[in-house]
Amino acid sequence: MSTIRIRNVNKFYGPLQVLKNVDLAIGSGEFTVLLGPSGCGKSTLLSAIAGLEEIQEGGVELGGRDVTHVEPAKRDIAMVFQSYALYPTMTVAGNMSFGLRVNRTPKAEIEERVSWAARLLQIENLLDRKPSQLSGGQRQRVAIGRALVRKTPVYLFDEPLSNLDAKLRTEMRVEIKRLHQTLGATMIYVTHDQIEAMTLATHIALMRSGVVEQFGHPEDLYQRPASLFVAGFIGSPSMNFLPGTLAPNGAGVGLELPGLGGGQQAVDVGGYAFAEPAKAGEITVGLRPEDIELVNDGPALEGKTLFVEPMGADSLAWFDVAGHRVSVRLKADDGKRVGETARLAVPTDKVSLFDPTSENRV
Amino acid sequence: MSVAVEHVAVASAPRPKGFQITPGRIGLYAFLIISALFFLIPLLIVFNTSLKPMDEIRAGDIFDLPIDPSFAAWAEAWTSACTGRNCEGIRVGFWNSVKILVPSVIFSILISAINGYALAQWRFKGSELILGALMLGAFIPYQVILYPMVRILSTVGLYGSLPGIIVVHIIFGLPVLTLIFRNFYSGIPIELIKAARIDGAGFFRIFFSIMLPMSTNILIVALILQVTGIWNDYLLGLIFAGRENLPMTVQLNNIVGSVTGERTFNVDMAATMLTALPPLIVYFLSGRYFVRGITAGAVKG
Repeated sequence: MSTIRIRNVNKFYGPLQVLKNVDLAIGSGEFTVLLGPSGCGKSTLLSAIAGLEEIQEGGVELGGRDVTHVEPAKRDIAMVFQSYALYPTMTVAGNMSFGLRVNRTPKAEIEERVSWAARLLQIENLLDRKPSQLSGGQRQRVAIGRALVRKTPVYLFDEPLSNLDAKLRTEMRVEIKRLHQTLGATMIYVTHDQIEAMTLATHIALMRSGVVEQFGHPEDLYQRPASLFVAGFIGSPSMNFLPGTLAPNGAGVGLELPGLGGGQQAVDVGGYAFAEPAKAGEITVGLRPEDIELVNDGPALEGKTLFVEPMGADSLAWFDVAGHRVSVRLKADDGKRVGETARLAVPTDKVSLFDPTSENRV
Repeated sequence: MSVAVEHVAVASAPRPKGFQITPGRIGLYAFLIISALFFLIPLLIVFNTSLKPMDEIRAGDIFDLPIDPSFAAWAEAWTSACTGRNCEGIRVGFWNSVKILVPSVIFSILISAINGYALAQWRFKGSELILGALMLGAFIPYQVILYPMVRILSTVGLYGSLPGIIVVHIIFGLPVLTLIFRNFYSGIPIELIKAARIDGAGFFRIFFSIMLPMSTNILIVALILQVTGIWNDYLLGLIFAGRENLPMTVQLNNIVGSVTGERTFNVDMAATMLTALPPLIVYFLSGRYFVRGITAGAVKG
């Protein structure tokens, strides 16, 4: 059992609060990504789980054991660092076996585990080299290997791929995903790259200035973002936002949007899963670029074409809708046929609605 | 490091065609040779004189080369030169110096390295204060502390003994060495320590398994500083070592100073050469590392 429980953690650097009431329950064998912009506290939270940073309030439980005041060495975790942090005077094999040697693991077992991890990561031919003789990607593999040989139930990754070039990063991402499936261990992974997060995670905790904004499955964060921040952070290009007005009526809920044409004042969003009954008033409407369709008739937003970006597999078209810039993802062929104006159908079943003052989903 | 790299670059760069002897270059070399001579001539005179018998010294000029060079004076200085009534030569002082030097160097470097590592990588409460105190300690001239130190050592019964002089050397070496090591270890990424802590290593395990093997260059710098400093020390040895343990420098002074009859310049000079040799040898063997370590420390610190 290797569940992780983070109970109401608060952490301060002097007067600055870097973690605000962080509360997460991570299931055994999950791959949880801590995602957020620089300085949001995600690495600090990881360090707190590892025990490298003291927390002032709250607690951390690993596998049901309270480890809030336990030394990192006794938490039964392994960690991979952004800078790899390989011991420069030791060989690759020495690096990988250091933790086991410190813990007085029998020699035969050390050798067995090192060769197992080396095989898994395809670094068997590098075991006698020093870190300075390795390339970035190889160092990264060694750093992961050093964590693997410990065979701990929990692995922590602190932005492990951010120092690699784009091609290697994709390769290692696949590698890490494969490792997670092979080992079935609980993994926590810090990154600011939403693609890494979306592809690797079984759960994402999206953080902003020390607060977990949303914690859930990647598709939840993508389809039903809990706040404007989450909606804007996840997805590339980012979600389109338009100011609208809600007008509940007897039959459903009308949504008035700027630039709405086709003889319509409002579209009906009665099917939207409101958290509480809809109130009349201003609202921020979020639309994913791939949810918008170009139509010839029916209720739609009148858009003036700004430009079309061909991206190979698909095209991205940008429109001016009553002064607001809206992006639409189109098939590559459709992208070529976009005229000077277009009509953008509002996908009433896929919109996200946010309170413009609290910025939370309604 | 950058110095070494530059040398390599200069050496491997193609020479300009027809290397020309310009007046500027002649002036440059003349200046360099004169500067070198300025520092070398006293040493040459000492060495030259130590190879001459007394007759030649009396008859000739100090710049005359020996007619029949002999190390007889060196042997006499080593085995039978007199300090007062004791005529066992300067070897007594040599061995005393070795006995003082070895433990003083080892312990002062080891303790300073651990101190520097603790101050650089384990920011604990009050570490800044300790660092400030060390800075202060490094700048206080030690003549100021001599008398209190004598009182302290005689209170604990170490005054005038071998352990006494060793303790004094260790203490006086700590401030500067600790600062050197702290600066060196500050340049080592903290993530290394974090990784080792997660791997289960403690304070000393991290120091001996990870930090110390990375410190070769800075260890050699510290070694040279301490060996030359402690070997060349006169004042502390004179005051704290006690009559049985007087180091070579003090004994040299006594040999040169105790005159009965004619002053034996050749023996004095030979004794001087013998006393000066050990630090010179240490420097010639490791000077390369010294420059490298100093620059590395300078860049990283």
